[in-house]
Amino acid sequence: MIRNRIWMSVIIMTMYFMCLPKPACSTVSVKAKHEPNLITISAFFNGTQLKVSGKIATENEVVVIVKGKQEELTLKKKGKALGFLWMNLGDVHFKKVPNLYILYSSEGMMELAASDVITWEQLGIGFESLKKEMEIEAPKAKRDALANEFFKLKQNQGLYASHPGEISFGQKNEKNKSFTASIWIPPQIPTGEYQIRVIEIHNGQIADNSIDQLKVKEEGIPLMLSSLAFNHSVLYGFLAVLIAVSAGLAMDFFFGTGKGGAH
Amino acid sequence: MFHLYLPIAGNSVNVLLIFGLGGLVGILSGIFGVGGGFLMTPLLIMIGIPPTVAAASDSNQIVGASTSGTLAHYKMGNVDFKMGILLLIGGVAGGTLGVQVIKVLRQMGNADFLIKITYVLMLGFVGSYMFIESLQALRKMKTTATASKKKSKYAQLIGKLPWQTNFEKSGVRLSVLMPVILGIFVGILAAIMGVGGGFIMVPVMVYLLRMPMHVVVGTSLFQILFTCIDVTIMQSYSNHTVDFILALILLLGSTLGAQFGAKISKKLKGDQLKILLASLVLIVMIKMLLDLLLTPHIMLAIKGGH
Repeated sequence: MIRNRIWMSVIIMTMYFMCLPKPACSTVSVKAKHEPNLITISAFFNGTQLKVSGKIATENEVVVIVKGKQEELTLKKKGKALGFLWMNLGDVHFKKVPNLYILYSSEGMMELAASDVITWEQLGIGFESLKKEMEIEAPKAKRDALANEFFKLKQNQGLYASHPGEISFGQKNEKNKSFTASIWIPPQIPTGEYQIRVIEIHNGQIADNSIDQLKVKEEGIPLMLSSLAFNHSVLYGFLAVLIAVSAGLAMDFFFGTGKGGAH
Repeated sequence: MFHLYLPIAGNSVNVLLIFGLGGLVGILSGIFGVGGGFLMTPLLIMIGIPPTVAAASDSNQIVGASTSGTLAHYKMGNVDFKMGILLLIGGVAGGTLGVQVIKVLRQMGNADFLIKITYVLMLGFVGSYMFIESLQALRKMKTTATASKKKSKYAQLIGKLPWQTNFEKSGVRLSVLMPVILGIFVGILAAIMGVGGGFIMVPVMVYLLRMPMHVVVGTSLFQILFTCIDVTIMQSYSNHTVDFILALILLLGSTLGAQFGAKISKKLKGDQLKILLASLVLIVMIKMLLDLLLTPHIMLAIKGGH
């Protein structure tokens, strides 16, 4: 009796999975790789290029997103005091916002979006889709405007970016075509792990996607100084003062009048 | 090519740009005896340094610039150590008190408003007063009889205070209490406004302590040196916001600038110095006023900074 029930459950489960909607038609699944796998921040780091390349079906389009871990942020909200003075009035808390969000897409995606076949929001990509994920501690009516201001601030900081139409295609045959995205990783990137998501789009639907990891870490002088600043903060403070005073004395020695006390 | 990564600021900067900024502010510091924090911090924020890191690292670089500037002025006989130490004692007490005041204001919820208004009013008042006064002096116009009457009353009042002593370097005789009380006053204001206080201290020394302008510049730098040592250590310890690489590039520029500034300062007359500083203070005041009146580009801001 029990054995029959187990068999019945297995059959039902199998049928359920068979009936699930398949991803939209794609002749090949997306194959992507990125280079480098590890970004090291050394003394002369000034941002870098991340190359994401791969193959998708010939008729499809592609989107690449580099996304950081979710964090909580408290920002100052600007408002009018006494009706005419703009200043910081109170805090706004943002939750579940990625610390980095960079989107690149192929040119065909812009045409698709313009022809109303798809919206970025429906696909769950782009800034608009982030609005659904993020939590803003503010009255509902004000959340959308606050989210837009948040995106503006992050773009201004260089941590959020959208580059539509900037993925180029290379060799293609009847089945597939190659793509390359040269993604600019800004120098402001925080250390940590990032997700690289490559999404293949067919007729305005997600046909396939691949997810990979990217690691960013400090090395050399930046690593040494940050660990000193955070783990031995008093020593760091005294050293900073000592070196500043020494630099002041050295400058006086080299460039000063050198005539000695005047009193 | 000329970029260096700043580990605490979490951004990379052009070394030549930062060196140039440091040099410019160092020259101003050497000429006027101000730390230059009220100029440097907004400039650093503009080039992408987080506000809290900009303010703290700037304090670190002022340590270097004011060491260089103080030494340069000391050699010219322009530092009144006795006055400087008394102002410093008052300044530390005032600063500690000011930090408590700001805590209470923050709890009341209108701290930012009061800070901005105090800032604009102080800059406006100090700048205008210095500008008008030194313009009159430059035109060799005698101050009116009422003004001199007021001054003599003020002189009578401070003459009555106990513990009168000679400040040889400044050529004045004052009560020990005067610099201490005024130091407390500047310390409170500086803590509330989040700046070193040089631009308030200079007019206080000129008009209330009646010190000659050249001694004011040297003594102010001497006092700023110690204030900024304290701020650098405290910020490193409590907030981890001192970016040493940033401070180092800035101070290479500013210590060099301070040396040139001190030499320029010596060539200018006291009233010329005052009118230039007044103009600088008024420009900063107008910039702050415009920030308050014009609609901001982004309606959100990162915490910290001035």
